[in-house]
Amino acid sequence: MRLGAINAVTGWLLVLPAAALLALFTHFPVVATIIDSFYATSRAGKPGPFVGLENYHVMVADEVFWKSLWNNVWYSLGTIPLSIGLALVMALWVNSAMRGRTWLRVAFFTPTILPMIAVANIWLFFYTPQYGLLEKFTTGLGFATHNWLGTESTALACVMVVAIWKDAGFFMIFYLAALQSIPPSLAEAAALEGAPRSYYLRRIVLPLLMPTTLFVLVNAVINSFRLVDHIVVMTRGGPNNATSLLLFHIYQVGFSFWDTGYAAALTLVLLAILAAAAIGQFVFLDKKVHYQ
Amino acid sequence: MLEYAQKLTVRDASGNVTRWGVQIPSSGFPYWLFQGLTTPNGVELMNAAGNETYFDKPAVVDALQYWVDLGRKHKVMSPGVIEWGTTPKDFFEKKIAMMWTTTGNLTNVKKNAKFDFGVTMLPASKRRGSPTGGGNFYIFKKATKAEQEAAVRFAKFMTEPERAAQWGMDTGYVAVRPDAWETAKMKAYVKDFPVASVARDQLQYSVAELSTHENQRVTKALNDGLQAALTGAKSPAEAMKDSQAEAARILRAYKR
Amino acid sequence: MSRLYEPRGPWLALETVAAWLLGILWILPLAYAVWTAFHPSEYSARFEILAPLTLENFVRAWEAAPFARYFLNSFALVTMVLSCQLVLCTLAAYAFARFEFPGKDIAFILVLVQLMIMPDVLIVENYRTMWRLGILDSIPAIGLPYIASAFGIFLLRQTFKTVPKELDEAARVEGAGPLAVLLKVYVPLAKPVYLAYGLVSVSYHWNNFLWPLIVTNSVGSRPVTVGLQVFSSGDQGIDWSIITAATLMTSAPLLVGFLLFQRQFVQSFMRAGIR
Repeated sequence: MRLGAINAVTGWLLVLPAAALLALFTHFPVVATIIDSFYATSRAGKPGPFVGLENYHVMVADEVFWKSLWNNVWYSLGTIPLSIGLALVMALWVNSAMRGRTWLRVAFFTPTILPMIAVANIWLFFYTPQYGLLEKFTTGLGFATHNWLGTESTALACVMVVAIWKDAGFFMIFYLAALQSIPPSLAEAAALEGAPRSYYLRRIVLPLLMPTTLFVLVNAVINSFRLVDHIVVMTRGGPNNATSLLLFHIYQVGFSFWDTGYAAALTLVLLAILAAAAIGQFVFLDKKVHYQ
Repeated sequence: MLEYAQKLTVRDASGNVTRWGVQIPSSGFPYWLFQGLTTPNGVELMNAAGNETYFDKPAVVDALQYWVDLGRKHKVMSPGVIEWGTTPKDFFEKKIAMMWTTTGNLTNVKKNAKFDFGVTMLPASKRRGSPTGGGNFYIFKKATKAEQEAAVRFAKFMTEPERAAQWGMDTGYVAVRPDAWETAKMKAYVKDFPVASVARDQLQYSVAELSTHENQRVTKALNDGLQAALTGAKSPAEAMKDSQAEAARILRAYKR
Repeated sequence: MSRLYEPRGPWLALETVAAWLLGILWILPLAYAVWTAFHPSEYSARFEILAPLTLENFVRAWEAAPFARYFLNSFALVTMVLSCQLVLCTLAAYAFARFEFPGKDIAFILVLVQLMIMPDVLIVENYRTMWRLGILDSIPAIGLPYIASAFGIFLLRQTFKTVPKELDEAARVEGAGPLAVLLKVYVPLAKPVYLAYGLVSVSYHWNNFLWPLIVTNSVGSRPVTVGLQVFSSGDQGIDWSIITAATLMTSAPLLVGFLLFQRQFVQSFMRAGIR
């Protein structure tokens, strides 16, 4: 009994420093976001008055918010499947006996460790009309010159390509780890049965990679709502908000317009989306695989 | 300008443009460049109190129509939104014949353009005109006495004639006081490089840069409208009507 | 995976070509940056084999902005964040792995919340907190929200759980207290995990941008990423040669480290990924 009490006190003491910081910078901000979203932004040192749902009414009427939300949905739908699919293919290649697999692994992984802010500058040049690298290629093939980042219909796709390029190699690593943990006996058994390669990959490897895929999926969803560095560098949300993502809109409202009350309401939408992703993970994911 | 731009636009045999006649960038802060079109058209975008905007006045819509037409109708400028940051490089690469940019770029151009170039005031429609730019030194009322004194000393230091002249020569920005232009260094510089004084001479026609209450928001309302028109998502009249409505909504609280 | 099901014959050739093309595409941006940074600016959009090499772009970039200071700030930032993370996460992970205390399960779930809701999205409220604390525009303000890392706690807890209880008990029999056991038994056994976590954390914080951009506004506290952005978004437009030189400089510490120890890097990220 006494030992149990000592254990309990020690346990709490060990957790305390981390718990305090987590409470201050994760839990408190979440609660504060909810509260602040019902208050107007403070002005001239006076705290803002309680305004009930006004910030939410503003949000419903805010065209830029809806556009950012839809952009983000398209952005997620575009980047997530492509980067995960590419990651899987890359992992299969890098894990095979293919010629040059070491340099391929380096090539695929390098974008992961480069700062997004820095590579976005390089991609900006790729997309430059007329003498940018992409233009050199397309005009070389006889296409007319195109203003890639300056046209509403192509700008979002352009920033999506950058995100896919950055993420695929990162996700590849998780698949690589999973592939290396598949016991060789499975392949031997399948070979004895005379199963073709497509069958082996589809019916044996893919199901075994399922937990990894779900894990990567959750990471990809979070990433697609969390990372807007390239937007800041390449388009600042333009043209006409065609590349404005939710977090970028929050950043503008919060730190360019300094409307913290409204920014809190917007943040709550983002938190709701992330919470939904979290719940989804718990529902779909076998807890035993990852949390025990 | 349109006439020159038409002459300067070069197309290859298959009709693809290899050099645009003119370029007015529109990323980031198109409102500022737009003032270079509205001011010569004889119209201002806001009142002096900064609580009222005039984005939907016919002369403003006209100016925007002109800008949009450069790309869409006359095809002398790349259509869509044009990146500000790459504009000087576009010029050095001879992909554009004329560019609109800050005078703060002049020294950069002087250094990097491997060909002869000229500088001129913005074209006049009804009058000459341009927006001013730049920043200000502020001294805060609530700062301590010592801080205020130090700030005044710093502001004085920064604006000494010799220093202002050097700053102007190193960047191309207009040296901020007339006596800076009377320094021996500056006189020699202008004699050798006469276009250095074009921006200064244009100042007499200039108007204040767009500045209102809730400036960032109002500016964004206008920027979004301008980009919507330039990318063809809205007609100029429609875009300016929406921008004006948004600006009026934002500024409502300051009208009392 | 066994070598039994590898592409063969024409398939192998086809897949190898595809893989190589993708690989080339993937390093193209970096290759371009290297090209532009080491050549005079008139070659930044023209690719000629015989273009002269130069280091001038690096010199000009280095002189044009206080990069030395930015590097110092970034270095101080990642050092502070990582060392605090290691201490705090080790203690918490030890508790979650080997102690029974009331509220443990709820506390652990509250920790896991941060895996979903990262500090990156709580910028508005965290900025207010930093303002209340009076530490805006300082290096601690950039690092504080990240120090109690749910990822670190989780990773180390998983590792500590695999340590045999007998080792723990043997040390206790010899009279070691809980902290001594942690230092003598658990920490040494988790060394590879520490290395893995360290690499992930360092590259995350070296590359982090939005939050540092928001909380800093002076040369004294800006990390290299923010410094690079301030430097490259001037009125004068983009001079690609200098920008790419600056870009390479800011990425260099991680990039060089990665190229030298790429096997360890990849294995570390893999280890950190198996949760």
